[in-house]
Amino acid sequence: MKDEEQRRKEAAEFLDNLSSFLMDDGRSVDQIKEDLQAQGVDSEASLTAFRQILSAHAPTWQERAKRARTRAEQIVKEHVPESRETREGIKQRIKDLIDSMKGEGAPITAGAFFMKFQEAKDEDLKSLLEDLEIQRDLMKRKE
Amino acid sequence: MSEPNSRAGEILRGQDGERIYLLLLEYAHNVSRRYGWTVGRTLPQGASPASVTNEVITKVLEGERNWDEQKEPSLLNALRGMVKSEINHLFSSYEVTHVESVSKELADGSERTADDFPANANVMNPEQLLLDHEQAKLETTALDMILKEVEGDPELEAVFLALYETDKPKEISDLTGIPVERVYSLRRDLNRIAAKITPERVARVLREKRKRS
Repeated sequence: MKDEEQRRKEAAEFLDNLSSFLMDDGRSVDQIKEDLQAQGVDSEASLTAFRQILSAHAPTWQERAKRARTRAEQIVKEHVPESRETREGIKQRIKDLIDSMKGEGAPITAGAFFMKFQEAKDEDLKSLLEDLEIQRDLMKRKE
Repeated sequence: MSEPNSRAGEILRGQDGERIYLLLLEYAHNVSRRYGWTVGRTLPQGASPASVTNEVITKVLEGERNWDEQKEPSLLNALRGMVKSEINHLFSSYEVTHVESVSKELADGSERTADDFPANANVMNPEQLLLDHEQAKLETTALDMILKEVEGDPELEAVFLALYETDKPKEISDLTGIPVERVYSLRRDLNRIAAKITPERVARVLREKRKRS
């Protein structure tokens, strides 16, 4: 039993010494990479993961700025289709209103504005729509 | 709410950052293997040396684990302590499940009971003694496997013997008479050998040895 205990103690000490002996902080990055390679570790893939951790958890000001810009671009992208859709919707409603008013024989003074659809700002289009709606309401009241 | 550790981030982003990371990763592999030789398995719960390393670094950067530069000026040493503690914690989950029943019919037909574990009874219970015995077998098997690999190479054999005494290259050089530069290059050979002696291989060899005896 004593012999076994002694052998166990020696084995544990040997393995501890071996593990500690294998560590050497004085090696160059290339040597460490080579030693990791010998253990089947892909040091390049590991370094890529490390850089991603740094970028996510300790970003530089450039990375922070880049991320903020990307976020802003994303917000703009998300909102642009919506505003385009709204703009298209407004145009369609103006066209429908004009057609309907023309059909009822109304003199359409908004035609000039209508021609400038492409250049008009969203606010101008909304304003034109509101004007046309008022005109149509007046027409209906007169009837 | 923890505060991100900008000092650690600054060092890891500095010119020595990647070297620190690689040394830490290598340390995690080394410690995992050392624990693995004792229990005959690799890290549990889907963890790996790389995942432990990355988790520790993330926690330090986020301030979830504290690095006190006043107490431990070396970030690498502080990180190593954390990695070792994480790996120790992971392996400890094995130690409670690794124990087989103390009362057991052995291969030769005899019955093993708690009475077969009288030594150190005031320190360890029979389950702990059995576990200790099992771990001793695994460690000596790992050592025998390393010995087998170095046999036939006089320099490696000499370094192997010196490792019973010390882990310092300079002292190994003094003990063996091998120039210290050569000890450094032999270390790389030993690194390759150690990498081949995986915990699973050690456990398998021990099982086969038991079957034969």
